[in-house]
Amino acid sequence: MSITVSNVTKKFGKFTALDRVSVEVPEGALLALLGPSGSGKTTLLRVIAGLEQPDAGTVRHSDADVTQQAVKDRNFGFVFQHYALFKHMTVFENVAFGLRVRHWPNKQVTERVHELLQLVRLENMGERYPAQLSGGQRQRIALARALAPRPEVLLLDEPFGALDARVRTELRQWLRRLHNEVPVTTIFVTHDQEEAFEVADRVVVMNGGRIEQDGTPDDVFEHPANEFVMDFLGQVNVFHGRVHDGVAHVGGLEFDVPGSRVSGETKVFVRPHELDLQRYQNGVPSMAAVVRHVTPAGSVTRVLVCVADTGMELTVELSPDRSAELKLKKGDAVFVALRKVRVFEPDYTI
Amino acid sequence: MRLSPRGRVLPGFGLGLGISLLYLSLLVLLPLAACVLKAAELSGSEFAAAVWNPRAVAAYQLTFAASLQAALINVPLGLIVAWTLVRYEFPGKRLLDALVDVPFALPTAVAGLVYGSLYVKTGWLGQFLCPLGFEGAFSRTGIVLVLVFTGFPFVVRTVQPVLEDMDAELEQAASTLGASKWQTFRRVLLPMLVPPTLTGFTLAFARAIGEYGSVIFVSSNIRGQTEIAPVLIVSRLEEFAYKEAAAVAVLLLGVSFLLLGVVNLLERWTQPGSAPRFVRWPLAKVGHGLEAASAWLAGQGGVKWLRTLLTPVGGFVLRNLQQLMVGATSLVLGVLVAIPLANVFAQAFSKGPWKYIEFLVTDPDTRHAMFLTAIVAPLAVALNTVFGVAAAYTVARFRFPGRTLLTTLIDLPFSVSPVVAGLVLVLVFGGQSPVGSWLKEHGFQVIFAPPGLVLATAFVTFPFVARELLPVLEATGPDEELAARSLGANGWQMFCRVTLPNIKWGLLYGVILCNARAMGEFGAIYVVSGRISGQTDTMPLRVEKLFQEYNQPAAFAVASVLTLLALVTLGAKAALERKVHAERGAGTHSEGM
Repeated sequence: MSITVSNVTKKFGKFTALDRVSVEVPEGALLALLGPSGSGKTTLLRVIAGLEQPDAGTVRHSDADVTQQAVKDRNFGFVFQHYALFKHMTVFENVAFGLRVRHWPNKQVTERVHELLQLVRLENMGERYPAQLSGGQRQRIALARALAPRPEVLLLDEPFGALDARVRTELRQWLRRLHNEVPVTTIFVTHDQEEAFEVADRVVVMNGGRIEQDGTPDDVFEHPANEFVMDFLGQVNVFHGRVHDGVAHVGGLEFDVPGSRVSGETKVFVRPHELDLQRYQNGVPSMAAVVRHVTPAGSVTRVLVCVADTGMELTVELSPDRSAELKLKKGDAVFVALRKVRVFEPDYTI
Repeated sequence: MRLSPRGRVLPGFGLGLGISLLYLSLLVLLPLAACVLKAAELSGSEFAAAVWNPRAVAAYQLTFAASLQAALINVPLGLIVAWTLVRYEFPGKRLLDALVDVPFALPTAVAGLVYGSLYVKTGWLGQFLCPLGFEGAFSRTGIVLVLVFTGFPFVVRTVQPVLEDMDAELEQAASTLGASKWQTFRRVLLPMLVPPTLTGFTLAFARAIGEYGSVIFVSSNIRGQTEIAPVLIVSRLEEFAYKEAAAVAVLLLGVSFLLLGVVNLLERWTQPGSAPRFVRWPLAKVGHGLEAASAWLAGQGGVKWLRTLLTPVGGFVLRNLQQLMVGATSLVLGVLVAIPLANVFAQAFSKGPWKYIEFLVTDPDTRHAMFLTAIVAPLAVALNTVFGVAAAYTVARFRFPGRTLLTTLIDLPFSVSPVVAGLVLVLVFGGQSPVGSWLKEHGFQVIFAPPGLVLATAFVTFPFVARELLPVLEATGPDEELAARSLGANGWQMFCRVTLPNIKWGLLYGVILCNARAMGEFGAIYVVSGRISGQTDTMPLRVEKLFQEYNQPAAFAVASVLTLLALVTLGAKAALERKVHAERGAGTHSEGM
């Protein structure tokens, strides 16, 4: 079932958590709300669930306006960041809760709960209490509990936030697979861009109560809409340069920035993997630099270099092949080439 | 970090444990053993005759029935008050919250005095209630009423923290899963409230069984009719029937320990899944039964009329829940606490302010009682402070065999009737015992003299300091003390520069509570003092004596001073609570233990 949020505003006292936010979530989508803390992403999720009343705007579910509908009547599954499992109930009763309050017959409750415990691969844990489970297990029980009453929409608030790195990675892949098996419309909140890109079909980047960009992970990463998105999604090197007639001047080098309406002083953004290092200045425009530190991080080698002229520090990511070819070590003199640069138009809307 | 019995890193284990054990043995274990031994001097049949005769049985029946009624009444009252104080914001909330503690701080003699006079025909409440047939004084109802007053904070104060800790997300989770407000309450909140409610109920019940001071004022203490078990012990003692008194005391002690055990088990079972099967299973069955019954009712067309009748009422209650709950809470606290407090001062000043001062100043016996209270209470508090710091430090910082036992023993006086406490001290130090007569030969009288008063007061109030310090010390953790040791501090330097500054507000808090109880102590002192006017009467005893002499305004004048002390204590407590809170909060970083 699709969810349509239109022009939702929510204030807490003087703080504006959501400022005229609109999002459309088509049926069966797996969407990530991505943003730093305080960006309004959790508030948006809670407004959709009905746990917060918006000050203005509407939430529509399929074609029905559910803005005024009580939480309990929406049948939207919600997974809380800290799970909010009922401590005094066994795992079985936690999962059964949504069915019991709907007066399902005992036999069907047992069947459905077993089905879900199987789905989350915790078949033998039914008689345990939440306190006897690990973090990852609790997280899966919270998910099973939310899925039990066959919700029309699944909402997850920082679902992996409280877990350690390894369990997190496992659960991400698992959630992705689960969504393929049970294709219920799913919205989840995260502040971790890697998580958003890995799990979601669509990413909505939020900041300061507004939506900065809405698109596929590829879209958002490759074509960030503005400085904020560029800066928020992964590491980036920022140069101070000038733009004139569609040409950017950075540290004595020139780049074409076609279609840019920017003119004058500006920030120029280059991602670490869009930089390349060479031993010799072989015709390609480049800057002289000195290697400060080499971190072999596995799939990429991260090199910290210091530009000779300006003293600016840059982070460069090299493929393992390239890195093996260069055999860089601390103190080596290198030349930095820029493969791609980005400039953004200043935000005039403020 | 593990602090094993061998190779302890922190100093002071021997000293702390030594002080704790010595004090416990002298003040509590030895006298309790003496009581059991005394009762054992009776033969089997004599013992049976002493504890099981018509007069005794009537006393037990009254004690247990009245205590049970009072504790049962306290459950709904306590739940309503706790719920209101946690869930709603309204003007006057902090005042109501402070009023809840009044029964803890107000001397029981004052409570008895004012409850006795509120419900008589000419009293503030009696003038309206007596014509309606409600006899709230010198009757069984009066006993239940005053026991409701003394036990009522237990339920509130055990339920309140559980309600406060309840995550709002639990209720939100229930509603996202489709539960209605009623279902959320019935399935999520209520089950979590059951263990603390049971604990509060048991504590209130235990307290009521031992209660003496307040009951003797509101009961006519007629043999076999309105005589409670502690009164029976006192009258046996006054007949010099020590063995028989000890026998009844042993029975009461048995019940107290049983209840103490129940409270400890309940606290352990509060952890979900830790209750044994024989407890969980019937509870689950009852739950399922209720479930089935309500499903059956819902399915019956025949009860439709019931629903049409109840729905508007239920709707009205739900819509106005906050106002109704705040109203009920104000009513409960108003009738139970605020009106009695106001009445104390009204009666004390009933003859005008000059007369009031005269009552307090001119009567030499009253003056001496004030003087004696001002000496006895601080001495007992000082003893308990030394013990409390030693015991709390030992229990919080070391693991050793018998640690759990020591913790339980600290709580012991909470569940021993003050009268029994007095009795056991008389049995050890009284003129009839070898210890007592030896001491007397050497010119040192304990019983019927100030030293006995100090001992009795210390017995009854000794858990307060240790109980307040334990959680503070546990929250602070040993890290800072270990750091001090690693920087070269010796034991005393560590204690004075690190431990003490960390617990100072908690310590002060415990001392203030202990002092309030010490000044108001009645039952134990009643037994050990001999009540010699101008010699061994403390203020609460003086209140009782003036009351017996039909000098009500003077009794109320003395009572008003005690009430004022209680109110000052509560004010100081409220101020300190915030500081203690900060102390405990600051200790949360020590999770790595």
